[in-house]
Amino acid sequence: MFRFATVSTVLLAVASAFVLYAISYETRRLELHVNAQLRTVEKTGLDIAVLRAERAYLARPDRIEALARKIGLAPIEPRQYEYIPAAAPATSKRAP
Amino acid sequence: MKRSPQPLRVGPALAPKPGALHPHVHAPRIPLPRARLWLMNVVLSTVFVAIAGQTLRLAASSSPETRLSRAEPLHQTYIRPDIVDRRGNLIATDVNAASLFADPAIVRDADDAAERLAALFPDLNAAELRHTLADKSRRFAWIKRSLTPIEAQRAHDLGIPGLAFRREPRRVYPTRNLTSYIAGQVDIDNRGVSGIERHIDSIGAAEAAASPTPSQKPPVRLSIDLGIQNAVADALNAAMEHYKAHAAAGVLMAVDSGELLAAVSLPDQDPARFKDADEADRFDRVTGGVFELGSIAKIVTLGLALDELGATSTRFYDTREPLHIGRHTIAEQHRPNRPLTLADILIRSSNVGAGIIAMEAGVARQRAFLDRLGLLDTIRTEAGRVAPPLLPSNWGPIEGVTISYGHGLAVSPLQFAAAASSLVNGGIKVRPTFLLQDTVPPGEARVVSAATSAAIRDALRRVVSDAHGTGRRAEIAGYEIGGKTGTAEMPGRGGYKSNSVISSFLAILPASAPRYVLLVSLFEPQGIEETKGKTTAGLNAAPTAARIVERIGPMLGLIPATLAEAAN
Repeated sequence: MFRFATVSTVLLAVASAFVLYAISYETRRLELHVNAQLRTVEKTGLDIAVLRAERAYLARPDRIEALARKIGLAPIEPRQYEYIPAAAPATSKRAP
Repeated sequence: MKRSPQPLRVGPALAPKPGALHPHVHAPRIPLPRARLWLMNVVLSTVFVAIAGQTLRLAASSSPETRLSRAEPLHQTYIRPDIVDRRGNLIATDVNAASLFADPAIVRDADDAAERLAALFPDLNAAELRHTLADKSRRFAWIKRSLTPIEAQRAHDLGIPGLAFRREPRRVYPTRNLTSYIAGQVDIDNRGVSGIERHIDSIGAAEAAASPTPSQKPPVRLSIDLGIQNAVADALNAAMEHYKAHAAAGVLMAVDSGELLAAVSLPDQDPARFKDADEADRFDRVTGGVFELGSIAKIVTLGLALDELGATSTRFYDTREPLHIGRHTIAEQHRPNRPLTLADILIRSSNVGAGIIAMEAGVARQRAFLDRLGLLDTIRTEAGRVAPPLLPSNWGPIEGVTISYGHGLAVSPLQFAAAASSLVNGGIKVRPTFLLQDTVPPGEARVVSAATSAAIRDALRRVVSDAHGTGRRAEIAGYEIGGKTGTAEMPGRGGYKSNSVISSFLAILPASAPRYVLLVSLFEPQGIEETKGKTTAGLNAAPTAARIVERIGPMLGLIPATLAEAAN
């Protein structure tokens, strides 16, 4: 009886150690994975910041203006406005 | 594990002798020696202690600090929220930059390393660098912070052992020169030192951080509109070139909220090279300098006559004779042959007329009126302190007269634009702001009556629309512009320099119900063929204002008056 208890306790201890080792190994592997993911997230976040800055740099008004003028666009002038009664918002007058 | 190997059912009479286990069951067997029992106990205890230890370690170290930590001083950088314009366009943001540091303890050849680093970064001092790298007791020393990606690659390619990089946030300004005076500057630790950047620190939006992650704080939204800012800057640049001016300033302010939609000072600076710029060239003329703005100050004098002296626009003033005060004589450039009405004094820009009003009001009332408009206060905006007005040391009758037509009192263009906004918006004092206001802040205080405000608007419109008006070159078909010209001689050594002037135009648009005030100033424009060699504001600043209004009218959603009339 004692011998059985002793042997099974030893086996249990060995088994637990093995399971714990396996879990620990798996945990470490997952942690590395999580860290890698976190690094990716961080790096992506930083890349987004750079891209936003670059986009803003490329979209700065003086550059867009020069490009727009190159393709024949220009700021609107007062004489280009036209009043079109038909396009005016509908009033209370209704067709019979 | 407890040492109680005895079975529980065993009675006291059958209790085993010490050293013999289970004598009733295993009687024939040799009793286990005490040593073996001990050994078993120790082995099992060790195993279980190991298991417990491992369990505890796993429980405690769910997020282990596995990164290599270097011996380095406690160092903080700051992450900052973005700055955007009123439409959400990016003005300033943090990006990640590499900073180079050394661990002198593992730098093998300090002389060689210092020499090669100094060759790569000419702004580094080779001798100082050699000294730093040779100090083996140190484990951390910055070499150069905030490198560009190319610089970082080159430093990496040197392959010097003991050098490493650290990521730090770095502030960038994609719009560069366009907003450099407003946005301000940050220091090497990314802390704001001037402009809106400093405001961000003062409201606690910049956070100390260990890693350069983008800030989670909402962006700081300015009242500036980048499109309008650019249009104003572009038109002013063109005007500077055309009229051969040294510098220019332009302010566009919403008259009800005090929001600044554009604040341009030329020449401007690239924020990345701000420190290298000439002292005189990195000076914001909108908020950082005070100037005598000349006859545009007559708007204030008109307000004084209407509101304090109870005059009406049609009251006559005899301006035919020059004004004598002590030994000074104030005369008109073009002597009128008939008395002028109060409105005419503004329309024809009569110095004598303005002087008569100032004398009638007296120094105390004039001063109190200017104070009420906020022209004598030191004001602040979110971008910092505005240069305080320069008052005459002795404000006597003669100073009162010169101030009435814009000499003797120097204010910043921003402060003057705010006072003008208060005069034309119905008479409510406005506080200039660089931040977007979701709601129109409740008016601080009434400075002039609504009737006075209406009379000023009417007179300003006539300066542009009247055949004798000094501002008629600001007229553009469609937009109902009102305004006032001002040509001020610049003070120089031993008095005023008649050939150096600041010519300004203050426009209100649309004149009948103003939404915006635009102040344009050209510094030291030259006489050109188009202006017949003259440098008066009516010939250069007024047409420049017209060009600007033409550009920004559609952006502001101003509908040409002709169209509005047709629609009614």
